[in-house]
Amino acid sequence: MEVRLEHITVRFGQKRVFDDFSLHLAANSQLLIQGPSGSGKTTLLRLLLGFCVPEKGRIHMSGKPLNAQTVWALRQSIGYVPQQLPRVEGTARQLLEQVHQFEANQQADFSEEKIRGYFGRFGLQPGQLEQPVRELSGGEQQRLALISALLQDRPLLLLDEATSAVDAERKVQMMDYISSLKDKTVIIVAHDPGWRADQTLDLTSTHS
Amino acid sequence: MDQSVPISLWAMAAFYALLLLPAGLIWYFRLGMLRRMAVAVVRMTVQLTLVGVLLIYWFRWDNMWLNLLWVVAMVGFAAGSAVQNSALRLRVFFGPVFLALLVSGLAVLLFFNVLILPVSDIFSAQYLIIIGGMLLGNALKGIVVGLSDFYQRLQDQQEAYRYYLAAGASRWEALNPFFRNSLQAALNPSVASMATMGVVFLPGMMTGQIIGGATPDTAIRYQLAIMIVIFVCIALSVVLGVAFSLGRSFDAYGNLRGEVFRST
Repeated sequence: MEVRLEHITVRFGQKRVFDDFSLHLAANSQLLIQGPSGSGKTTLLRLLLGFCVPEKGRIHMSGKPLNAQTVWALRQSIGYVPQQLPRVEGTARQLLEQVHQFEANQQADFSEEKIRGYFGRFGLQPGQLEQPVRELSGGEQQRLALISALLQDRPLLLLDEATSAVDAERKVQMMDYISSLKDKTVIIVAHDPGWRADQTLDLTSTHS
Repeated sequence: MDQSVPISLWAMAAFYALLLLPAGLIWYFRLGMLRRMAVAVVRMTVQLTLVGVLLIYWFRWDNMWLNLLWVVAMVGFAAGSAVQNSALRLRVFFGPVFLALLVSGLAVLLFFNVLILPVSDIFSAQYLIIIGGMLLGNALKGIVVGLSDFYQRLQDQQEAYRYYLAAGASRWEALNPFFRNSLQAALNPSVASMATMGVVFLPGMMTGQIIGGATPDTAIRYQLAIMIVIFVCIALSVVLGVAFSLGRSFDAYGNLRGEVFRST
């Protein structure tokens, strides 16, 4: 999925986070976004999800403009991995089931075999499927969030500090796996060194 | 006819004199609410006296349109009071809450009256205004709890709502967990109250009817019927209150608007 941001301006109160910012990302390529806290890394992902509406500028995904009419369909093309899973009730399995029950995900393969495959790949035990999400460690929750996004099998994957709480060994496994995804466009927001991508964007420079 | 023993002015004066007891406690323990208590007692007295005078005329005229006008006015006061008793902004929520209480209150009220009265009497003041008042008083409490819980929880757990949207949920699918919780919060007090009714306390309507001369059998039937319609009315008004307010509370992208809450 091709992603294009043109002349974006975003302001929070007096603070201008983006000023005439443009970005183009070719389909099936990977972009690593870096920059200090408050530089707009997460805001950029929120713009693509329609959680933040720019004051000026246009966003296109696969040639379609992102607006109030198209945002609902475009969100269904995005797999999103937040830095932290939100406070949700229930077990890991219930969370995956809930996501699978959304009409947009009913065709996706959430089979037991596939879930267990991802659990094994990212170092989670099968028994942890029945564990309440809130009892999982930060790193385990991040892996669960990644698994949920991968099961949705969307053409655009957004990772927001997705490995920040994961131990070094698992981090490498996750990074390697994401790098190997050749049929997805991936945007990675990360402080972690070790990510590889086709393009790197340092947001420090856009604010200097 | 009225079979209850009238309360003389002397007796009323004695009841007011009884207030000296809590007033003394408030003063002695320096609770700082003496003035508030006095204002509340005066307001209650003036409001109920005025309502009593108005009801005398309304009962005398007993006109369908005037009775409906009374119900609509009650809904208006209830909607204003419901929103002001929450952290929600009056300008955003008055309309949806008014409409929710009007639709649910009138639907349930007419259902109640149709089952009990001959069709010619379903708009009579004695039933439309009195039962309507009981329904709205309870629906008001329910809708305050339901709406406040819904929007507060959504505000507190906005990341969860956004996570569901990002996972491809429709607006309704993403709101569903929050709505379930708010409906439960609104219905819980009524469920608890129904479970203890008659054991822990004797309900007001039944007490009033028995004092007014009704047999316990009739009073209990009325009480059961009113409790059921109150429960239905709360459920309906919360569902409609949330449904009618969604359009004003979210932008077209599905994001909760900041102006939903009153600025403090």
